[in-house]
Amino acid sequence: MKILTALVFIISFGAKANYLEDNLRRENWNGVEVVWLEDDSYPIYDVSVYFSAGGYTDAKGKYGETQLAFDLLSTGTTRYKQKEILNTLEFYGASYQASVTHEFSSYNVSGLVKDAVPTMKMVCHMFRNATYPNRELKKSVKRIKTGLRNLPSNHGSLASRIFRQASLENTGYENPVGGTLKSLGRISSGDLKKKIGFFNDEVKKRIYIKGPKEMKSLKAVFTNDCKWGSGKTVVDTPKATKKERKGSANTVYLAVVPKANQAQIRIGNFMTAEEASRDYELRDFTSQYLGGGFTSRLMQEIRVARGLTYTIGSYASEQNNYGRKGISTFTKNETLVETLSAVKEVLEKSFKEINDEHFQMAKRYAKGSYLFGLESTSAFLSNLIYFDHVGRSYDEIYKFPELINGLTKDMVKKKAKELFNP
Amino acid sequence: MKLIWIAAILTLFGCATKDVENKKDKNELIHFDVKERELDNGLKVMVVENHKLPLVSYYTYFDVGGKFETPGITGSSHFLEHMMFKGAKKYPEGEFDKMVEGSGGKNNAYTTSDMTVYYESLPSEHIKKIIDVEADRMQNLALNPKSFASEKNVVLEERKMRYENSDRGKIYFSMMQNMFENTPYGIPVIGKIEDIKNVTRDQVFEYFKTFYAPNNAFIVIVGDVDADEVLDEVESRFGDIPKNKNLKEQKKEIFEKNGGFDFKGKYNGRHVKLHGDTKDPIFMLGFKGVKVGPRDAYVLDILSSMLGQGDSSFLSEQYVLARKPLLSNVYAANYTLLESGVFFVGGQLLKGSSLERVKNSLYSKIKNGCKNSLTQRQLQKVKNQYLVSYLSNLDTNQGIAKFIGDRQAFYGDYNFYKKEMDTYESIELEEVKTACEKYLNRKDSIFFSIWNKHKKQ
Repeated sequence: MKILTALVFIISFGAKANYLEDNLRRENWNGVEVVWLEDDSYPIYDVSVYFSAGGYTDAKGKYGETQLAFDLLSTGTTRYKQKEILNTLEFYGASYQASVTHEFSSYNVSGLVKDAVPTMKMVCHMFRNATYPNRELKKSVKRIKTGLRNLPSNHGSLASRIFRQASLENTGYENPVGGTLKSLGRISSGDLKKKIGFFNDEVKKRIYIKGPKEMKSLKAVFTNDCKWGSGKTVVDTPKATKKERKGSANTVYLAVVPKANQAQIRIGNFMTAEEASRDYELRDFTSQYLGGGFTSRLMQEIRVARGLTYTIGSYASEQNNYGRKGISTFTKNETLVETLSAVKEVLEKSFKEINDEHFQMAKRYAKGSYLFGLESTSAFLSNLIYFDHVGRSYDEIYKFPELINGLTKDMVKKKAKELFNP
Repeated sequence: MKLIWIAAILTLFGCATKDVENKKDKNELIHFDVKERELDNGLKVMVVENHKLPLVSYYTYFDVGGKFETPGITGSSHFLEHMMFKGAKKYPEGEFDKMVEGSGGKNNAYTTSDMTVYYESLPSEHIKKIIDVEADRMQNLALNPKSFASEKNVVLEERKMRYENSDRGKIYFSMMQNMFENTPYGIPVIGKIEDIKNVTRDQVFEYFKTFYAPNNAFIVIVGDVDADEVLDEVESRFGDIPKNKNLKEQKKEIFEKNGGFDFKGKYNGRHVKLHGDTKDPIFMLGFKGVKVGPRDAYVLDILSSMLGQGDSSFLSEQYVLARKPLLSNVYAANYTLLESGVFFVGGQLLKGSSLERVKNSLYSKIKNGCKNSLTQRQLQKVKNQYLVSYLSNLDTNQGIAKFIGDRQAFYGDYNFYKKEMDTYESIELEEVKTACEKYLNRKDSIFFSIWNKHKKQ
C-alpha cells in the first residue's frame, strides 16, 4: 500500500516506516464499501458514513432540509423520545455530528470502543425510525433562526456569510446548506422523513472507520440495524460556469454595522467546475504562497511590514463542481483603503515576479503543512473521504511532494493572476 | 518505541457494557515514558520519544501572564509573546518563521492570565535547529524599535477583533474584569488600549529580563527523537543562560502591589448591562470559584459538566429542550486558574424570552436542580465523557506535549494526570450537590448581559 510510502516520502524523504500502510484496508459490508484504518493506540474510535448526496437535493425554497434531516435525528423515534436518545448517546461519551455540503454529506460518530456497538445501534435506530416530532422541529428551527438573526453581533461571521452569498450568486450554490430565515420555516416533519428515507435507501454510501480490531463487530450493526445496502444514487450537482454568473466580478458590497471600529474584508469569487477540477496542487500552492502562513506574501506585507491587520489569509478550495477563491482579513476603519491598496500591490507584484528564496521556502512549507494535516488519524480519515468524493486516488498523497517540486515560478505567477486578479 | 500506549479497554470511569471486568488498572491506560532533566539554571526539560512519524513538537511554558502586569504595562505578557517572533541576536527578524515554515513546520503561541506558551511542530530532523533558535530568543531578544511600533497596531487590531467587535468577546471580557475586580486576574490579558499604545521598549525589555529566565520556564519535547541526545543538546544551548535569582521576590512584590487574589468585587447578583449588536440577549452568570488543585475544583468541574455540557445536561433540558424553551443555547464551565477561579453559566435568549425572567429563574433552577435532579447516572455520564476527552487529545505529538505541559504547569508534575483521573473517578454525587449548595449562590455572583436594547455606556 502506498499510503505509508506517501507519508514517509512527504515528511522526510526516506525516513522511517509508518504504521498507516499496514493498517489501512478496504472491505465490503453488505454492498457498502468500508475503508478501515486499524488503530489500537487507544480504546477510542471514529466512524464516518459518507453519503453521495448533499444539500443540493433540498427542495426549492426549503434550503436547509438535508442538514435538518441529519441534525434532528435525535429529536425522537418511533420507540424513543429525544431525552432518552440524548441520555443514551451522551452516557457513552459519544460524539455525533453531521456535516453537509452541497455535493455530499457525512455522519460522524466517535467514542469509546467498548461502547461502539450500542452507540451505533442507537444511531442506526435513529436513521431508520426518526419521526421528527413537529414540536421539536419548531423549537429547533427557532433556535437556528436566533443564530441567524444575531449574525451582526459577530462581524467576521456576518462578512463571511455575505461574501458567500454574493460570490456564489447564480451558480446554483448560493443557498446555504444550513438554510435561511425564510426557508427553514417551510420545512415540515414529512419533508424530513422523506429526506432521511432517501438517504437510507437510495443514496450510495461509504463507511470510514478508525479503531482497533473490535470495530469489526460493527459489520453486523450496519447490516442488520442500519440495513444499509448497495445504494446506487449519486446526486450530480450542476457544474458552475462563468456564463451563469450575472454580477460583475468587481462589485463591492458594504454591510454597515454602526459603531464598529474595525472593517472586515472579504475579496474573491467562485470558481467554475472547470477551474476547480484542474491543477489542484498548483492552485493550493499558489493560494498558500500568497496567504497561507506567517511567511506568506500577504502576511509579510500587510501584517509584518505594515502592521495593518492581525491576520490575513488567502484560499482556493473546491468540491467537484464548483469552488471558491478569496482573501480574508480585517483592519481598522481608517486604514481600509490603505489595506486594500496594499493587498492589490502584493497581488500585482506576485503576477510579475517571485523571489526564489520565498518560492523555495513556500514549497517546503507546502509539503510540510500537507503532512501535518494528516498527522491525526481523524484528520487523515477526513482527507480520505474528500479524496474519494472528488475521485482522487490515494496515491495523490504519495505524489504531492513530487507535484510541488515540479511547480515553477512562471506557473505560480500565471495561476496567481488567474485566481486573484483584482 | 518508548511512548507506551497500553490500550486496555477498561472499566475506567464506569462501564456501559459487560466486557470490562478483569481488566488492568486504569493507570495503565495512559503511560508516558518521560525523560527529564533540570539544568543548573533551573530550566526543566521533559522529553517523550514517539517514533510513529518522523515529526516532533516542541513546547515552552513560561510562568508569566496577565496576572503579573502592573498598572501602565497591562498587556505586556501578550505583547511580548508577539515580539518573541520578531527576531533575536543570532536569528534576526523573520528568521524564526522562515526556519519553521521553511522546514515544513508550524508554530504559534498563546498567553493567559497565568502563563505564556510557545509551540512548534516540524520534521524531527530539525530538532537541533529549533533548540538553537529557542535558546537564542530566550536570552537575546531583539525588540527592534521599528517592529515594536508596528506590532502595537497588530495587537490593537487583535483586540478589536476579539473583544471590541464581538458581543461574545465583550461579555467575556467584562465577566473576567468584574469577577476578579481589584485582583491580578482582573487585568485584561490583551491589555488596556492606552497601555498597549504607551508601553515603552524599556518597560517590555525589563519585563522580558525578569520573566523569560530559565528558572521561570520548562520545555516539553515529544516526537521522533533520541531523548538523551535531545536533553544534551538543550543543556548545551540553554545551560549558560543565567537564572533570575530574584524571581521569587519579584513575583511576590507584584502580587502584593496588585492586591492579592482574594475576591474583592461587588457581587450579590448585581446585573452588569452591556450594549451590543445582538438582537437577542447573550448572558453570563459568574460565581466565585476555586483555584486549581483542591478537591472542590474537580467537583466543580463535574458539576459544570452535569449542569451544562451536552444536550442532555440539566440546563439544556430545562431551558433549550423544554416544552417551552427560553434559550437557544446554554453551557456551564468551571475556569480554574492557578490562584483563583470562576464558575460560569452562559447562553443566549430566544426571541421573546424575558431577560429578567431568565436571570431570576437561573438561580432557583440551579439550586433546586442540584438538590433534586442530579443523578448517579448523570455523574457517570460525565466521567465517561471525560475519559473520551482525555484519550482524544493524545493523537498527535502536539496533543501529548500539551497534555504533559499543562499538568506540569498547573500541578508542578507532568504525571499528575494519574491522580487527576483518580480524583474525578472518586467523586460522589453528594459531593457535587454539596459543592453546588456551597458555591452557586446569588450573593457570590454577578449576572452579565449584552443586547442592542441596553443603553450605551
